Amino acid sequence: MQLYNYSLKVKNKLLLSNVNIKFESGVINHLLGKNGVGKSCFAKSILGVFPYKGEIKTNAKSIVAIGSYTNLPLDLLGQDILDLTRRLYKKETVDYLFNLLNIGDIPLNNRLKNLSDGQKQKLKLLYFLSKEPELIILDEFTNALDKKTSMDIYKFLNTFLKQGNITSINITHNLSDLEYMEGNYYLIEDQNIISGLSKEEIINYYIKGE
Amino acid sequence: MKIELKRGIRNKFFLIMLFLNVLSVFLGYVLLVVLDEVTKVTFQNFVESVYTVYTQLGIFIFSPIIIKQIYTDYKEKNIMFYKALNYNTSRYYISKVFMVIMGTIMGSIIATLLICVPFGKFNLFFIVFLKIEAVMIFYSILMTFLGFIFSNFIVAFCVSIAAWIIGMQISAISKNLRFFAYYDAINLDYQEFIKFLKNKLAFQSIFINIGENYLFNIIILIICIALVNILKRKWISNGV
Repeated sequence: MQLYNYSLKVKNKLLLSNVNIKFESGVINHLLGKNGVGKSCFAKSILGVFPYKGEIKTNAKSIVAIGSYTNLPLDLLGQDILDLTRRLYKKETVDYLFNLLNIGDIPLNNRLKNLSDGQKQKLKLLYFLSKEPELIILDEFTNALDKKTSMDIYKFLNTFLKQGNITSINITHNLSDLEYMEGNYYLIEDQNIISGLSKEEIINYYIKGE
Repeated sequence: MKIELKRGIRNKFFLIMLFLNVLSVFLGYVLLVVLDEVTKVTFQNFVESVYTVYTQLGIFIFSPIIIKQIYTDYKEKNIMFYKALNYNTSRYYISKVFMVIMGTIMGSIIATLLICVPFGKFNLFFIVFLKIEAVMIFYSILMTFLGFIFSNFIVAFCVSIAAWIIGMQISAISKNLRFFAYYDAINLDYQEFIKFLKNKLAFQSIFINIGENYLFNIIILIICIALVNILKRKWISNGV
């Protein structure tokens, strides 16, 4: 995915100005930045929520954005989500994700609201990724997950997102994401997206302000 | 549509609608006996009282549960779930209205049974049901629309009350503006039904009146679908 002369203004605040940058496919692109610099607004502009200037060039026919919210109706059962996913998408894809995410370990006869955050996130990944989207945006996705669940999710994402045809952007404040998921690192600062940073550089820049 | 019906069952929407309809009938009875101090309750004054509850208090009774059906989706940021199902704004809105109307049909049947059975007036069951359901369909279309527009539950509820009050005031200006409070007790539609209950209006005329009710609801639905399509960015920004 490439941005050409991309600018984003939300509620009269200029968040990004004349950005030209490329997000590679087959690699996890981590996007960091302080609160309010426009990370989530950038993601929403890709989804068409906010209008932007310039061009976003992508071959992706299908885009999904998954956040820290449930994004699935909490009144449904886990089994309802599984049945719906099986009905909608390719059997091989659903089975592959089902096994990779260990969905069989989730008590699917419970309502989603009674499942743990980690179980909900796994069902969410099953539902949204079975569609085989080419562009995946994760927005603070690993917030509120315990260590074990986070590790399961990292293992899964490291396998799934590194497929050649997928472009992924992981918007995060969670430094564990950087530690356990190697990728490219981007920083939003001064209305620009800075690329080409190493993991150490972005941690120093972001955390220590150096 | 199927997923909405499943949600309606799982989140007890249908059950709550049944309860609210029973409550409306009960309120109709209480108002008649306590406020109007009627000692002998007849079929005619009971129907009139219950119908008045639906037209005058229905907005307070039913709008919170109807608005909540969309508010929950915005709160949980569920719109991506629907987008993955290839829903667009109008399909989403129509499927919500459809689900709510399923609930109102069940509720109206129960309410009509509670009205008709004690008096053995089964010959009027269909007419009473159609009149109550017409009011409920109107609420379903309008409240779902307000829930769609406003991501804040309190704002959506307050706007529904404000719209009801303003509608009544506008309709009081002229008979030609009665559509702003179409089902309200001050207007022709309500008065025609009361005339029918008092045997002052023929069967044929009440069916014409009911036909007009449903035509009015269809027009309101078409207007709301058109507005929902115009406001598709609002749908995404509220729920993504």
